[in-house]
Amino acid sequence: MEFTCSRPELLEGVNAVIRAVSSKPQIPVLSGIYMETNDHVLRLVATDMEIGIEYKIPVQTNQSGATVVNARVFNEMVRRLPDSPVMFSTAGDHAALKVRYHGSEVTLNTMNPQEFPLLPTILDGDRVTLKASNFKEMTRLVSFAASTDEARPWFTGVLWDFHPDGLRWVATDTHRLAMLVGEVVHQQIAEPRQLILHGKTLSDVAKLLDDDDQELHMIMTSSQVLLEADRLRVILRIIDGQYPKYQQVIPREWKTRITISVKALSEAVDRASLASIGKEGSNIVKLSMDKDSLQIRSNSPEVGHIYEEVWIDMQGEPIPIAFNYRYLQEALRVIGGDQVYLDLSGTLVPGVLRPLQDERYLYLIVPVRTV
Amino acid sequence: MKKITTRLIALEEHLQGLLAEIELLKMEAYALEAENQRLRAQRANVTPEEMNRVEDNARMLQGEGYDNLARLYQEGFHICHVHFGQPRTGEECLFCMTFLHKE
Ligand SMILES: [Zn+2]
Repeated sequence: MEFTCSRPELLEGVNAVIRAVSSKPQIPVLSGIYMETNDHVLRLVATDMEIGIEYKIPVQTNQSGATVVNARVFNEMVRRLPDSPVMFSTAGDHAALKVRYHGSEVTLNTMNPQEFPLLPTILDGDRVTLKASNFKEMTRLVSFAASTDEARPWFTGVLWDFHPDGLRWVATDTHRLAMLVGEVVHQQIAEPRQLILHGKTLSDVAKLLDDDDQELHMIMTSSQVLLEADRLRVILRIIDGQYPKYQQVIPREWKTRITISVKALSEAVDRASLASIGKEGSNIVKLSMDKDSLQIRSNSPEVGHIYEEVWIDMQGEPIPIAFNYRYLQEALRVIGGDQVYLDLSGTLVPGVLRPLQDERYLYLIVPVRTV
Repeated sequence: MKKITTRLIALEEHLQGLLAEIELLKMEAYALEAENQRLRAQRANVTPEEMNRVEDNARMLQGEGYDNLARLYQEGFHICHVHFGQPRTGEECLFCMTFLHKE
């Protein structure tokens, strides 16, 4: 194997696959990055058997071949290389990897590339094509609402709910729920199906998609999903389990609709959240309202009282309600546009945030009982 | 040390009480399901008066079951199909709440 490439491109490739390297590899070869060069393309692969990432970068190939190098060492080395062409070579499949730049040379130990589990080529399965921008939008607006409690794996995921007229993404930790309608470019699904993919992992994949316009092709089997974009291939495991029936949680109508500036509400909630500071801090913000203003109150024995007022437009009767400020804050940080509806139906009925300009999205927050 | 043991025993008794209550509620739910099925089967050939009487009855039974479940939720347990019977971690649950506010 022999090829020449530039440091920036190599670094891009290593950054892309390093996420999939396990910190506690089940088999030694999984601590490595697989490298294979062919036709002026270098293929980098890493996997921890939960996720597998393959990334391609252009190189100057003199002799094709493959090898596996320790991921941590390789990553650290690439970061320290000079910004000049670097030549890589091995004298055979099991030989050390020689790295040459200017007059210097590093020789790295390698592992047997034949032992490395490469990503499968999936040919059969349901297919869907999305724009990278839409996929990123999903990770921004939905993934964060998933739970981080690995004891309930299906809540750590984003539900992909495929139905005849499209796709819905849902995530919930049972305290709040986010839902976004997907904009499918092309879909070929045998029958309506639901699958759950790890939310954090989806966010990581989104970071690898630099071009918003590129198309993302997905092939879905019963246990795995393969994602393909320009330079990238990712294989993800589908999380087992039945996702709870989320439709029945979403209120179909509202009794009171409040129209409010996202920025103003977000800032007011941020300030009200000061009451959460300290040992006896309170996460609760209490909302009350009249025709044209929303009042937000919070307090704690340590901090004191906070009172905020925001201009609103209200249809319907006032409904006093209390929320955990974090669930409000996290949604307000990602919702785009100027204004949002806060739809309420009762003091103990979940409140719903809907951006005015975007009917595809909604975010549900469970109210807090205040005595 | 004795104090902790006493408290543990008290807690155990309390939990056992709650578990017994869950068992009762489960039986009640089974009974309701059975009743519901029987009613459905009969529905086709009953008079409006009979129908009203049966519906009143069912409503009363459901009301009791509802009250019991609401109490269980207040005491800090999930009553939703997602985590039925498991303790809540202090926070409200979207799925339980939907169940409580169905009507
Ligand atoms: Zn619940």
